[in-house]
Amino acid sequence: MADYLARLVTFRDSAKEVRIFSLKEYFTDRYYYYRNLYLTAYRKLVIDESYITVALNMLGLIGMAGIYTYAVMEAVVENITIGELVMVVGAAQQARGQLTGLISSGGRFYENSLFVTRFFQFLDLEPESIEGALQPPRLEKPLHFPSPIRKGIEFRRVSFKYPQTDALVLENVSFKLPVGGKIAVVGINGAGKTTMIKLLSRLYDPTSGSVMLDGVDLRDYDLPQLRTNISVVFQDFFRYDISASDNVGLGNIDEIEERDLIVTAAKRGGVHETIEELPSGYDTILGRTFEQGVDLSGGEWQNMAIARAFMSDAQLLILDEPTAALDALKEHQLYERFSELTEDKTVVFISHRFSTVRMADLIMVINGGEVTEVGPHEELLANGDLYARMFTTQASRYVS
Amino acid sequence: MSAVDDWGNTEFKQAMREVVPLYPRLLRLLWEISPLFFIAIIVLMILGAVIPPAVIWTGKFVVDAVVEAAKADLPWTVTLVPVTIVLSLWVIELLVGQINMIVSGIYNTLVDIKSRGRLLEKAAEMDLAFFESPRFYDKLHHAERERWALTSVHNSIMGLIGQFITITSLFAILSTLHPIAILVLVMTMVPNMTVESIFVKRWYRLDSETVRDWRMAEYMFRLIEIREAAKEVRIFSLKDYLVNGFHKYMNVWFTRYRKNSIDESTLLTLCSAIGMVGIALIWLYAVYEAVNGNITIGTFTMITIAAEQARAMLMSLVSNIIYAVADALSLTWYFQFLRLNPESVEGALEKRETTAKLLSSTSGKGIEFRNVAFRYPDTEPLILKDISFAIEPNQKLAIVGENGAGKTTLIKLMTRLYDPVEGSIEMDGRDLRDYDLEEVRSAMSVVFQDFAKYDVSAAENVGWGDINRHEDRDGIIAAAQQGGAHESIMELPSGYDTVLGRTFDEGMDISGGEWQNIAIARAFFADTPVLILDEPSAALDAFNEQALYDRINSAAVQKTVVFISHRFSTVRMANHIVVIDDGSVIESGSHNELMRIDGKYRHMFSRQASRYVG
Repeated sequence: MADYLARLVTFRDSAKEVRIFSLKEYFTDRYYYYRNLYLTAYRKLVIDESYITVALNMLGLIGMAGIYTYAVMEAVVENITIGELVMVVGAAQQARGQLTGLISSGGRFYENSLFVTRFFQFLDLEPESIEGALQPPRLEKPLHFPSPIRKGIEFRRVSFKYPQTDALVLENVSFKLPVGGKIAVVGINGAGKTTMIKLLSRLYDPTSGSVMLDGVDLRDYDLPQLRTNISVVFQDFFRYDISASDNVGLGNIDEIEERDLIVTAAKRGGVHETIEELPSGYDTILGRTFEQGVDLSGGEWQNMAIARAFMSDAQLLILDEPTAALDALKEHQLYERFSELTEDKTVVFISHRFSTVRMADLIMVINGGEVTEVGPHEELLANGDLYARMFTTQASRYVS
Repeated sequence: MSAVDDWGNTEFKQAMREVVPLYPRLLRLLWEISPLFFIAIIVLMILGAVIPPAVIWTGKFVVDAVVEAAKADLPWTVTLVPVTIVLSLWVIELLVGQINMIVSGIYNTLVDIKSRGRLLEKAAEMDLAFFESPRFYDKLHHAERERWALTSVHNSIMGLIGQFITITSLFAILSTLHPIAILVLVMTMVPNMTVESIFVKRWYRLDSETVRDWRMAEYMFRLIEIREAAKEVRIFSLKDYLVNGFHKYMNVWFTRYRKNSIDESTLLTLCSAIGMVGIALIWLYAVYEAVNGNITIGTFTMITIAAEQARAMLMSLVSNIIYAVADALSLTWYFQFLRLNPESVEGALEKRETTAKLLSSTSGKGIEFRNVAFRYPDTEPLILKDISFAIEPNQKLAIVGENGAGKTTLIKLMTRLYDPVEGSIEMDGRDLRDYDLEEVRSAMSVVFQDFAKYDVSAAENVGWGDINRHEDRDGIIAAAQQGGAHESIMELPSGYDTVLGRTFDEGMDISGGEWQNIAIARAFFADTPVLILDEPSAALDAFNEQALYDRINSAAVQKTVVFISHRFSTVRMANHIVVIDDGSVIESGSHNELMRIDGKYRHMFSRQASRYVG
């Protein structure tokens, strides 16, 4: 806890709020409070421990004192020579040093073993044994990921809960997604939309039911192949503090040196112009980790993340709130180029902006862990259900 | 590293010049951490240093007494006195050693706690510019990383004191043989000294020349390790790339490290061989003297032991000196940071005599930007060129503009996270800089686009908006209701006491929209006259957005609300809109007025609105 509080004070991510809400004194005080708790406990421990060390050392000393006194007595009656006595005296001198060393290094050995044990425990951790880890392949030889995808995706009675939690985030969800379409997923906050994306991209496996692609359970496909065929832009996409070129190139690591491909992807993602304006163009280091780094605005970073996703040859592209930070013109640009950019791809996206949702051919509404409505915009609007209500709520603000 | 000559001498000398004045500061800090422990450790150190020579010295009397007794056929009891003294010295040595271990252990923990505490206090003093400048921000993290050296420099210095005392007494013992013996021993150390001082430079050079490789390796490692990047690392199959990158950068360092280590230990082994010759000479001479009956057998025993010990002590003395220098070199970062004047950071806030008192915003005159221009420190282009507009008390004002137009920057200026480069921002008719900073801050609360997600309980997440009232549960619930977070909090396993996020074991993660509601609740809890929201609806669904709209018009009637949004459904909450383009205000007015102007606003609005009609 003390460490977490110290991080809040010294890390950039929280620097703004710590100042705005004047939290620094509170955090610093709490830091001392928690560390002092530790100090008290530590003090008790070392003192207790030292009783044992002293006792052990005393035993050793008594033994040595016995030998020493005995050697002196023997030398006096000339049972041993002066040379032998000198040897014993010298040896006693050395042995005392070794004794304390032995006991303290014993203690250190024990402490280090504890540390090493934890290290090996982590290395020995079976990735599959972690709650919520992906299930091991069920087929001896995983299937090739179909190219192109023919029939599309199907969620079959999928339920899911996050590891170590009780509540089902998705409950018995079933629906079909056609191939080659632009599909929007709509729902209220906390409805489980992002979770669905995690299942679709196999970051998690369903708790029950299955996600099928072309009639085959996702778990039966080769995972590396599945990864290259499904690309995702997350709501909390990552901002890599490396060059602009690499930021895009990471989307397809094998082509990270191919500047032409990177420029094309950047153009598609709408970030090419921004990059061109940077001091060293595509070679500019972004972010604030490195000294020469240049930071981008929220919207520019989002375009960067979209470009990264376009860098891959994925057949299925998933976008979580792709326009959250984009201005109206950028959003419009994306909309205009969307069909062209994604003609051979299936695109699934989540959005709360209905101007973005309208890019979709098909809209799916999720509510209470279930799919409640599926269809094109006009149809859902005519139904007058949740979708229609959400749409009109937002749309009413656009009518003067 | 072109500025460095072949041996890295220039830079090393520069660093050494900084190290020397460091010691007084260092000792003062160690003293301030706990004067009591500081003195206790010195006393214990001196005791510990005196005992080993004393044991060797009393050992001489034991041997001499034995020889005497054997010769004159006296009973063994004549040796009782020296033997008892030797044995009690053993016990004292043990106890002193043990007490020293306890005291040092506690003191080291204290040093750890307080030295980090100092860093925190200093970091808290810094303005935002410090955190947003890689150059300065790096200093803090270097300081934090090298802080461990405080303990080891302290140990080296204390060790030096002890060793110095022990060696002096051992030398006194040796001088009973012949004063030249001391000279011989010291001479054998010259090669050691030379080798070690060459290697301090080489290690320093290795460190400074591989900084970049280290940092790249660390960054690669972090990407694998941290949760924020975990999803993308998997989706884009970046694992191998990052692991290989880590090894590649580490290898650059390791190859050189290996060479240095091998060279160093080869040379040191050679030096030890030379040392052996010195010891052998002393021994031979002692044998010669003993045979001639010039010294007693007891003295002979004493000298042989003392010579061995003195040499071992001298060696650790030399390496302790080296450590004390090398560790102090690392500490330059720590003290540089503690000494850094917050005002010297480029982009730091201007300090003025604060005379003005803030009026409450309802009776006040509002906020006004007057010809404000701004650029971030260390950068060339002006982000804001000439911004002028006024915010009336209790107005709901929206700032609209394209990505990268400088909207968020505007908010940072308004909340005085930065000061303008030119022009001024006035509140109630006085420059913001004329008010006490804390007073300005307590008049405004902000929800940033990248708001913080605190991994503490839901109640604290809201309560941290106003730390003085952070245990006021009723107030927290009211604010959560205003922020639209109450219902989702009530559904959590332990309601308001549920720990959020995934840092702690019991933590519960919530969705992006739910986090945003909590951030809004936090700002409401602060209950300030001015409320600033940067993209408050980015992650909110349509109902949630509508609810926010309603609450701003009910709960915040008596507040000035400024917000940024790309969703025009959200922008419509405003009764006044300012459009920013290329660092200047290009349009301002109400929605209807701006629609009539037929400029940028209308263009942007209609682009988005077209998607809602038909």
